[in-house]
Amino acid sequence: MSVENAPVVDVDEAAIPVEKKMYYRFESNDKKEFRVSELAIQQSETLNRLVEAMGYTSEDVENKPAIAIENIDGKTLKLVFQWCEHHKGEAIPVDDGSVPKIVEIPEFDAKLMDIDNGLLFKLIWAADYLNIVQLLNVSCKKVANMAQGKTPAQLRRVYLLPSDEEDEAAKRAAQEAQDPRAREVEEEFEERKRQGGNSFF
Amino acid sequence: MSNFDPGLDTFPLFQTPSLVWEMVILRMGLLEIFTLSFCSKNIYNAVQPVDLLISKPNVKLEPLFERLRTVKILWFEVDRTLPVTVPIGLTWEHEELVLDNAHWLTVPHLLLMNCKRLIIHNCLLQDFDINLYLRHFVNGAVPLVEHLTIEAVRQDMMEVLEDIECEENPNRVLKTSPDDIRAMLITPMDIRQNGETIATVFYTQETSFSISTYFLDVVKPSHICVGPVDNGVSRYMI
Repeated sequence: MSVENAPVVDVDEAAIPVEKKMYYRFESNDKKEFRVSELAIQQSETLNRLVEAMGYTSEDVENKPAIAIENIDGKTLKLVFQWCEHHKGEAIPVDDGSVPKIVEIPEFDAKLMDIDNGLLFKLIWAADYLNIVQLLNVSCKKVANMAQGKTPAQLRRVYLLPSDEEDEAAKRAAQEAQDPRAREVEEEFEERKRQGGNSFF
Repeated sequence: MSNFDPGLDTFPLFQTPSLVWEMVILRMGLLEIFTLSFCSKNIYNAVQPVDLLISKPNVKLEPLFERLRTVKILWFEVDRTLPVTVPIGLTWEHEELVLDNAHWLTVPHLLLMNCKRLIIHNCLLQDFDINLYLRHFVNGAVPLVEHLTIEAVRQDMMEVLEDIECEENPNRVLKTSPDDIRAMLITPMDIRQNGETIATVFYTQETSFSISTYFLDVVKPSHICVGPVDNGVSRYMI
């Protein structure tokens, strides 16, 4: 049937059910509660899957306990949800493994991330944990911008980068931690050396 | 989650998940990545490979390439709309060098690219240019080159191999991967000198969605070939 020949149907707009906006309740690890819109939650793949799996109705959202996010504190979660609410409905970048050549930090995001590095660190962890791709994108760009105009010595200080010697020591410590028997053998060897023995096996 | 509480002007980059610090590094400018690579051996290894795209005119390439000397794997691309002239005297000594949009490439450039693995896409080299390069190659001009791949328009292999001592060798294979879709267009040709095989030349065609791409591979004997790295799976050996 062509478009021209399609029957015209009068629509009674009042009869169309208006979908009620649903707000979910979340609780941080320091017991601060947040109400977040369904659309804003879609920015977080982790939370979106979680609420889908829970299948809450509007009544459930009000009557059941808030959904606990146990490893993020209230201060950080507040920033995360502010970001999600501001960017709700925006397309989520597809993770195809490619690297965006240019990442612009929007004004809102720049203001939101005008925080001390301790909180920025927690925000990035939260964005990674909650899988909020675009928040991770802009926050990583903010950290990347810290490198501008720095010398290697300054970069070591800014990013708390270990030296080659510290890397080696950490590697040895990790190896020892993984193989306790190796450490025992080494200690036994050292002990025998102290006792004057010249053969081990 | 880490309980790190840094000071105001520090950020513990490598205490973030690896995905995060990789994202941070990939969002840095090239200069910052180079500077970062000087901080420790581990970081140097972490920032490989370097993917360098020249997207604006008048970039001074000499100082840039001076910094690139230590890079093991370099991807170099020039925006095809830019009239960029890449100086001939640059140093290209990497384990792997991948050139994309290499419309600027000439034989003198190629003869200074002494890299173990060299992959060239979209160059304007003609058959006689490749022939000239192969003559120098046979005489040891680029001793470190073990595998060269040139993606170009259809080539006349008679002209490419003109006056070079060659012998057909149907037993040589370029690909062992069953997923490899390249088809051989000629019998592999061994380039010989003083009774010794210097390298084998393969000429292949890849067709995808009715578009054909032609590849010329020059591979030293017994060299393990690593194909153009697409999704890290195009790995095959001779």
